[in-house]
Amino acid sequence: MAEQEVLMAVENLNKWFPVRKMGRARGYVKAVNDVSLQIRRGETLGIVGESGCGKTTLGRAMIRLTDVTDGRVIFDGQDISRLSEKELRPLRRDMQIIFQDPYSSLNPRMTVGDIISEPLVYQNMYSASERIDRVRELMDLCGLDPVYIRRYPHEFSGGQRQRIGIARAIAVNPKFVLCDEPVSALDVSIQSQVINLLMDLQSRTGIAYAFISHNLNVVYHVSRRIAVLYLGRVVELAERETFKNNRAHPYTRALFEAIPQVGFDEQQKKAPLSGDLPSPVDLPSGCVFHTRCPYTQPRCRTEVPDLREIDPGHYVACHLV
Amino acid sequence: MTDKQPLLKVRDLCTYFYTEEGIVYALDDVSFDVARGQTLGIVGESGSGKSVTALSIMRLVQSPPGRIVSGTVELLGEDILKKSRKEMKQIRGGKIGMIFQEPMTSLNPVYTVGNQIMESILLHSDCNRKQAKERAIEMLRLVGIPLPEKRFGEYPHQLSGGMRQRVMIAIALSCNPQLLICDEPTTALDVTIQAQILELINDLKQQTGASVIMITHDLGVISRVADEVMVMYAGKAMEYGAARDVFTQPRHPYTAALLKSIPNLEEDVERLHVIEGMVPSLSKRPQGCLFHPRCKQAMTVCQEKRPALTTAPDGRRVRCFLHSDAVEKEAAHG
Ligand SMILES: Nc1ncnc2c1ncn2[C@@H]1O[C@H](COP(=O)(O)OP(=O)(O)OP(=O)(O)O)[C@@H](O)[C@H]1O
Ligand SMILES: Nc1ncnc2c1ncn2[C@@H]1O[C@H](COP(=O)(O)OP(=O)(O)OP(=O)(O)O)[C@@H](O)[C@H]1O
Ligand code: SF4
Ligand SMILES: [Mg+2]
Ligand SMILES: [Mg+2]
Repeated sequence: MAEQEVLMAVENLNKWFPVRKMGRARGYVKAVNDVSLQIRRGETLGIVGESGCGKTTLGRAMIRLTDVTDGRVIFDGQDISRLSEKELRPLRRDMQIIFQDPYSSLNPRMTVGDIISEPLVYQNMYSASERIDRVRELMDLCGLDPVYIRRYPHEFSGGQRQRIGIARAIAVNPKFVLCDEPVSALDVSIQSQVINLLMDLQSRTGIAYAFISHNLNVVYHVSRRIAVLYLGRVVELAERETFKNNRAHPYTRALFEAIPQVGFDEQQKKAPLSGDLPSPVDLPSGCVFHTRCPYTQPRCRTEVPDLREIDPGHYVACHLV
Repeated sequence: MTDKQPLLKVRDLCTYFYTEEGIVYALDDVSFDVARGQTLGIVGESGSGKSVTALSIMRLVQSPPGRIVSGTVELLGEDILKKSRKEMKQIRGGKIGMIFQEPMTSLNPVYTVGNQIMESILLHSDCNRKQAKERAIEMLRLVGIPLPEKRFGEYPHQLSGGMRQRVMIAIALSCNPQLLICDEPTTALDVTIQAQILELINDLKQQTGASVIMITHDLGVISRVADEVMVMYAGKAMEYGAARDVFTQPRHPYTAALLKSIPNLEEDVERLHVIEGMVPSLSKRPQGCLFHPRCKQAMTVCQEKRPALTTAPDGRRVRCFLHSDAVEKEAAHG
């Protein structure tokens, strides 16, 4: 990948949370483990995996809403992994976030206009009157009628609130937006409205997205490339089409088979995996997936498989692939 | 929909909530059958009345503000809406078992899982405590919980989400119910665990011959488990028929639009189909067809009159004027 194409690069990133009992650290939740990946300008990288696998933590580390335990985050050519909040402030303009919950992520006491212009104020962009014009323009762009500029969030439906969140995120013309489960809380008939909006905005403005979701169908639809996480590790990373026909990692294969598809052809009726997810406090030795993998070999229990490029652009962390 | 007497026969069921904002028509004129050994899927978006359907069958609707206003719910030919509270208590957890979405809130945190299964068995059978304990352990083993003797003495918080849902299934099945109602049993679970639970429910259904009502907003889940499906929208059944047919050849514009709006791996589309507008409020419902403000095919009649659920010669039921002329009309309610 050419240097200038890369907008966000994560290198050997670790994020561990101390587990405290009686005030003393008793081990760590190893939420993100040795993750390396890149996001190009204007592209969508999908991040999928089951609950607790570290999607949100990875995303928040990328935009430095959390500090990193180890490794580097390079945004637009600059290492931001150790910057202070003050040093990050000017960069915040280029890194925004859309949250999952359109109900709790908007301040109920602020009008829609104030919510959307908040990042403009924070970044000191435009004069007060220009700001109002910008807010109207953004509302229009996001499919919200600008006459509602003085209304409060509770007067809107879930889908409309998510549009408010999107308008707020793109207000400052960011280069990168972290979308953390942006449609998961929405009704099925509303989800496609929001997905189309996000994709339209991208083709118009060239924003890059990290799109986090546990819904593989949605991620497949919006992404150019997809990273599959299991217990804080990337187990497979490839162009989206690869996941249709050439999924290689045993976990990825099981995950895709587990998703019930509408329509009946070749519907898997047998659960592809047995057993529960191990705790991220006591990660399995060797390959993190070995406790549930149907193909486990002796070396899988002891040796951590590297994320290797098996085909151009197709990375897999498995000893057998 | 078979000639044989169905296990459960629900007719013209209306459940309303009398609230400050007005009457919420949560369930309006809903009819369906569940045949023996079959799985009926009920699918619909948030607030469409799926849970109220389940609660109405179990007579667990919160009252006030809720009330079953009319209709019948026949279990093996007997209207359970006419049963006394005491009789209902026997039916719930006896002939009808139920599994809810969030196993943490339906399991009691202060009792061991074993105790909770035993209690259900003791309430619904003539077992003594020793037999009940044996049966409880057997049930834990049946639902695939490793080391059941050890798990018997553990508390709900010591189990993972998937394990808790297995315990709920064990409780629901401990009295050999003829009908198992599952309300979003896997929504809080990860997909690989969801697949395990769906497989378990399917296997147990096969082993015990019980019928299942599977409630979910996930069309994929219905696709995987249901024989028949009822698609609900704003408290009404919009389409009802064999699951495979409804999903491959939807007739109601809502079903068709919904199927087109969800992405799937098989059919790769550039842009997703959009259903404009939003789900109507159940206390301020639109005139005419409840879907007409969002329907691309709406006609004048759709704005004025409520379409009835009509049955086509092939058995498919659809509530839409586009499908009501050529077919035999049922009594037009609602
Ligand atoms: N602030 C925190 N303190 C301690 N542990 C945390 C913290 N934030 C996350 N974790 C833990 O880190 C792991 C990864 O969590 P994360 O929220 O990133 O997962 P996720 O993939 O986003 O899951 P979900 O799909 O449920 O949102 C989990 O085990 C979680 O409990
Ligand atoms: N106790 C109650 N008081 C007032 N209204 C209620 C009550 N319980 C349910 N309702 C209303 O009845 C309607 C149907 O609710 P129901 O819980 O059946 O929806 P659902 O299809 O199960 O949705 P979800 O997918 O969100 O679980 C909703 O509009 C809801 O607000
Ligand atoms: S009755 Fe009319 S508005 Fe309702 S779904 Fe059919 S065509 Fe659309
Ligand atoms: Mg998350
Ligand atoms: Mg419900």
